Amino acid sequence: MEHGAALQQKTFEHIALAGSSIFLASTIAIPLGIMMAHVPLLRKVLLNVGSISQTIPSLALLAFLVPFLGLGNTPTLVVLTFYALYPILRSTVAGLQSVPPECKEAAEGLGLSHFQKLWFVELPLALPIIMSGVRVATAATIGITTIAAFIGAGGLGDFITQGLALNNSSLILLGALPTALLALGFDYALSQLEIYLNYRKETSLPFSSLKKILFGIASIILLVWVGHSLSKEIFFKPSKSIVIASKNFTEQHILAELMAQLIEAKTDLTVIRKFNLGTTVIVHQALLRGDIDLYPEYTGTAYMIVLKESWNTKEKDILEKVRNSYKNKFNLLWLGLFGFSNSQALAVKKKFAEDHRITSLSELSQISDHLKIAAQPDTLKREDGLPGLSNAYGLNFKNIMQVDSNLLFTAIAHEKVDVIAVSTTDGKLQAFDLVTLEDDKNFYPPYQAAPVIREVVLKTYPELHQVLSPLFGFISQQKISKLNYEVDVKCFSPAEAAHKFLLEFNLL
Amino acid sequence: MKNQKIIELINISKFYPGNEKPGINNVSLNIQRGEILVLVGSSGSGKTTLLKMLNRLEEPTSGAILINGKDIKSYNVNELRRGFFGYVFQKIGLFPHMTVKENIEIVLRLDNKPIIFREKKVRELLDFMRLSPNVYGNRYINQLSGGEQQRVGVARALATDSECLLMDEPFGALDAVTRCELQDEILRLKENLKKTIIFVTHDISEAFKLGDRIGVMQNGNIEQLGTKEQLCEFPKTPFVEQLMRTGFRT
Ligand SMILES: Nc1ncnc2c1ncn2[C@@H]1O[C@H](COP(=O)(O)OP(=O)(O)OP(=O)(O)O)[C@@H](O)[C@H]1O
Ligand SMILES: [Mg+2]
Repeated sequence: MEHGAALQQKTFEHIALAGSSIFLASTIAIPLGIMMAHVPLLRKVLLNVGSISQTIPSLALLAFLVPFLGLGNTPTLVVLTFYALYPILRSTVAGLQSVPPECKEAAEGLGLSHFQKLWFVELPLALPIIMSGVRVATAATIGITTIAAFIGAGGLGDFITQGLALNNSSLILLGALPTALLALGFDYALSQLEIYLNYRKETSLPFSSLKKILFGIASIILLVWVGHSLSKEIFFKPSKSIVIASKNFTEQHILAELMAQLIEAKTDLTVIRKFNLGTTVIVHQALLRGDIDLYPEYTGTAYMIVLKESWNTKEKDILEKVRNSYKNKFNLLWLGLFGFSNSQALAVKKKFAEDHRITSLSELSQISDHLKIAAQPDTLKREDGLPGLSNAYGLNFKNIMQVDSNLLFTAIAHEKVDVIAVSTTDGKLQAFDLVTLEDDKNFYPPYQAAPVIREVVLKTYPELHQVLSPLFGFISQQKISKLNYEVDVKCFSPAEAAHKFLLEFNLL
Repeated sequence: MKNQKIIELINISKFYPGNEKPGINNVSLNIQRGEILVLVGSSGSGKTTLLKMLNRLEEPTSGAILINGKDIKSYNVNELRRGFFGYVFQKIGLFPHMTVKENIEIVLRLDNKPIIFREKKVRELLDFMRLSPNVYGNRYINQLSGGEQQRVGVARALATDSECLLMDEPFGALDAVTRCELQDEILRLKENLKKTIIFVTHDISEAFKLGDRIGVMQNGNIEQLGTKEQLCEFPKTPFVEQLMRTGFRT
């Protein structure tokens, strides 16, 4: 199995991340819970704050932390620990409150000190409930650990996000199944531990000292590994290197690979790849911090998501605006455009377009009330998706189907629908013999792709401009679609597709 | 030294927060070294409260308690509880996560007594309580009957060889035969080891059998304190008189 080694490594990363977060959360939450059990005000405040904290979306929290903590293990550990705190805290308080009052009174009356009472009576009696909280936290954490992939901290989430990015459902399963198995396995192990620790045991369970030693060794290995990778992250960076990033979809992987392979071939810089990062905001923050140096971005995305401008259809040239704002506000430079725009569009079969003689959305609106359309849930909901588009063009479809991105093309191929909402660079457009209709009223902003680089990095390695320039203006709409097709449909890896491309056009 | 005061209560009152009626209402009382003082009285009359104040599980609202002539607060509270008093709790309060043996020896363990000493002590005490050490020593508390639990509770209180025992209805759940045997053991403890014992019971015949003096409590007051002869022949209040009569009937 080709993914065997990777699976092993990712699983290990996953366990290490989840395990150390649980360990950290326990060492914080159990003492805090003990304090809370004795101080009613603290208990009330922290339990309320804690329950609110659980409602913060983990990805949002992660994006929030990147400016302070950068990419990788540190912010991931912080987020995971943060989410594990509350269940452990709550169960610690509940466990201590469940200790029978007559036991507490007897402990006091026998002359045990506060600490002795806690250690010899209250904690052992509360332990089964505390453990059940740790168990809940562990199961949840193993699930949430998949977000580590969004900021390049590894784990099984890598498979899931890559699978989603590359439209590869077996990759998704390769991440999701072990995650579920891990969660179940840990849950079982902890439930056994819970039984062992439960004072209501009738007969003592076999929990040999060998098992205890193995357990101890496993925890130590785990901690050492996390400590090691943390310190590597903080202290180790090769001297002459450049970090290239990509977001988590095919085209980004390909563009980043093209740049990476050119730089590797033409300079002596070491290229560090931090691909498949979560969101535009995360990548942008990492760029600002200097955790990454270079990545491909789109003008429309930069304009609306990073600069938070709203799109005005009369706007002709947002590239200049974006370029100036990035340089002045962020000291980031937009290099040359690759030569294509990855925008939203409606696509129909080539034959359909010819039969009905339509090339633009305005023409489509004439006959839209006879037509069925399919789109992804996202496109259907967003105001800058189909609803806005329909308004702008007076589109009024007979039937609107909500379909997953994988099934869009199947739907139109089997003539379940006449029109689908797609991205203009989608590799499958060619494969399914579809054409996109022109956005003649400029409803969508242009999404021209170009590398964004930190100004200081370009100053340090000015040759980069020269090295990347063969790509500028060279990757047409057709070329990028072809590349996407190679990966999405023909199942080449982005690196292979990029390499073939560079060889084919003699760019190396 | 006979008739030497070991414990002295001076105008003790105890108000529980939120209760209008006092739990203990201006009680003064001397306890002699080596005597068994039995407290009887209706439910809620303040017997447990009185014991708890001696052990400092509750603090009196007003008044003073002297132990060997010195204010109780001048002693280290945990040393007092471990070394001076042994307490049999009304609610027993055995620790369910420990075996019978571990329950009995807990204070000895915390005092770092050697294991051989502890083993021996536990065996002695279990024998003393009519529980076979081999059968019961390693059982958990939920594997014991109510009466067995009570006896383990007594054994735990005896483990530290304290001078003074506070026993709050220690034999309530026992059958008549075992109870009688254990009462004899208590009397022997007094005779041989000169222990001072404050003993709470609802059973008047038990009070008569054990008590050098008997205190009758009602509504936080000690209605009358004296030997059983004094109480029977000269009851001060109708309540005492009625109590004595019902006592004789059983
Ligand atoms: N922690 C407490 N808070 C408030 N009131 C209490 C508390 N403990 C006892 N009391 C009240 O103080 C009074 C005396 O209680 P205490 O436990 O001393 O009675 P008792 O004589 O031991 O009764 P019993 O024979 O039923 O054990 C009762 O009215 C009881 O309700
Ligand atoms: Mg009582």
